[in-house]
Amino acid sequence: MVTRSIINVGSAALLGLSRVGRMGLFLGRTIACVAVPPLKVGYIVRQIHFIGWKSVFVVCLTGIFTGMVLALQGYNALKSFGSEAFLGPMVTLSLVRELGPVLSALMVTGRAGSAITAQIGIMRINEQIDAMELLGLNPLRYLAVPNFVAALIAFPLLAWIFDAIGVFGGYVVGVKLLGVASGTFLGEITEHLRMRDLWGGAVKSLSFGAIMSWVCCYKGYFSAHGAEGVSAATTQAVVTASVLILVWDYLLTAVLF
Amino acid sequence: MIQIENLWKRLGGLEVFKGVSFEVQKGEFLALIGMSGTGKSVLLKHIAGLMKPDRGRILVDGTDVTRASFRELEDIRSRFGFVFQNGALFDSMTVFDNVAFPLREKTRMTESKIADRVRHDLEQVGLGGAEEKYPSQLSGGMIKRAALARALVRDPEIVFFDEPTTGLDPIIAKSILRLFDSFHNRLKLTGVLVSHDIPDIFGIVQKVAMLHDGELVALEEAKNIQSCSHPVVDQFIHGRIDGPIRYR
Ligand SMILES: Nc1ncnc2c1ncn2[C@@H]1O[C@H](COP(=O)(O)OP(=O)(O)O)[C@@H](O)[C@H]1O
Ligand SMILES: [Mg+2]
Repeated sequence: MVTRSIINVGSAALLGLSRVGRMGLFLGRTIACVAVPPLKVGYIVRQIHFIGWKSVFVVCLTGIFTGMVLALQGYNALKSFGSEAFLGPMVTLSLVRELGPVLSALMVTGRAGSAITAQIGIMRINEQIDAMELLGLNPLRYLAVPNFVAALIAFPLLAWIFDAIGVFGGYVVGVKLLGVASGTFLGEITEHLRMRDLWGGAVKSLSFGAIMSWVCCYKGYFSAHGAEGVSAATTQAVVTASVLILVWDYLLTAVLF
Repeated sequence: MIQIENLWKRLGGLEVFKGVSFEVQKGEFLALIGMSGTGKSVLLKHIAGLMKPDRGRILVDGTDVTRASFRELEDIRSRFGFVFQNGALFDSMTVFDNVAFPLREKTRMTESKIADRVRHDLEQVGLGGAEEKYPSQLSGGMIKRAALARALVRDPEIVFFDEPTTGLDPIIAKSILRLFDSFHNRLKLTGVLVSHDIPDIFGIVQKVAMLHDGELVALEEAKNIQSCSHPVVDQFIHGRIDGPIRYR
């Protein structure tokens, strides 16, 4: 009985370990393909369009409401200390350091990440990936690398869009609705926002882009036999990528700020 | 040219191969027959190095594809033409781009040379007007023919066709078989053909192998297969309802 459960725990641990190893290997091979030319520029441009451009609308939408609600909540909290003047920096720093990178990454993972997994998974079960290998081509170059590079480019830009729209939303609520002076709101922002906040946010976004494309491509690439295989892979990809993004965000925040 | 030695493979709890061995000589076409689910497609994937056996060797021109390095495998595969059972066309590309893809990615041919070659090949398989269509817009027969064009566009020496005529109407099926025959005679191809076109394929291939229950139950010259006395083979190729093969 005891030995049985020890064996079970042990084999589960080994399975988990080999999975982590396989995921790591996948990432390593993808990065190696980025480093060694040729890069498939056409494919990268297409994925930037898909991951980046097509996410602009949903990022703007979530950005503006996030900024607005931050201003609303922040105003009430700050008011009890009599420091409404700091509403601008509070909204801006929350967005730039934290919510911009994280929320835009989660939105894009839900929107584009699931589609990436499904698309690659279908190519796996329809044997299109096998067909590529038989043509003597490295499928990662055509499937993983374009998503990886495109996500690295798109994620920081989307986060900055999120930040800007969010600050605008906060401004509208804080200044127009709650009556904070416009000069105070904006002036305090320029006073408190540092370059390193912007770069810190960008570092976060870059790593979130890497996580999203890595996990979503991996799950699609190794999706199992049949339509159920692809749908399971898609769900797992979104959940895994989202959780990893949040965990990694905590670690980065502890180091960066 | 292709030697398969004592192949064993277990997939999803099922022993798909229990010691399969056979050989295909240079310039020879072998028909692989057997009921659905006996592992014919899986066998082709093993030869192409897409799946690894649990035990056994597969030699292609002396190189063991089950242990080949990435480079060796790439060299061998550059001589292969492979038609998957479902076509495996790239669904984000048009028919034209599908067929042009191997040439664009693996040769230094100019785009105009590529276009000439692709048009010519598509014409040959009767897809002259379908160049700009996407795979989702094609019928099953058109997909198979496009896949055939893609497999042959790099002038392979060794070809694998997985049920190229299944699901097609009899006229197209015959025309595809005739196409193979002419390619085979003209280019001296070596190949393995999985097909249920009995008895038509027996006129094209030199040898017939039958896979059943993880083993090869027959490996015969094509001209002798129809008189093969093995009860499983006899039942299968004559389509008899009664016999050793039982449907569950
Ligand atoms: N990737 C796979 N994973 C698990 N089982 C598989 C896989 N591919 C094929 N099989 C199983 O192997 C057996 C042989 O399949 P296949 O070679 O496609 O048969 P067929 O002779 O009809 O071509 C089937 O039972 C199939 O379900
Ligand atoms: Mg098959």
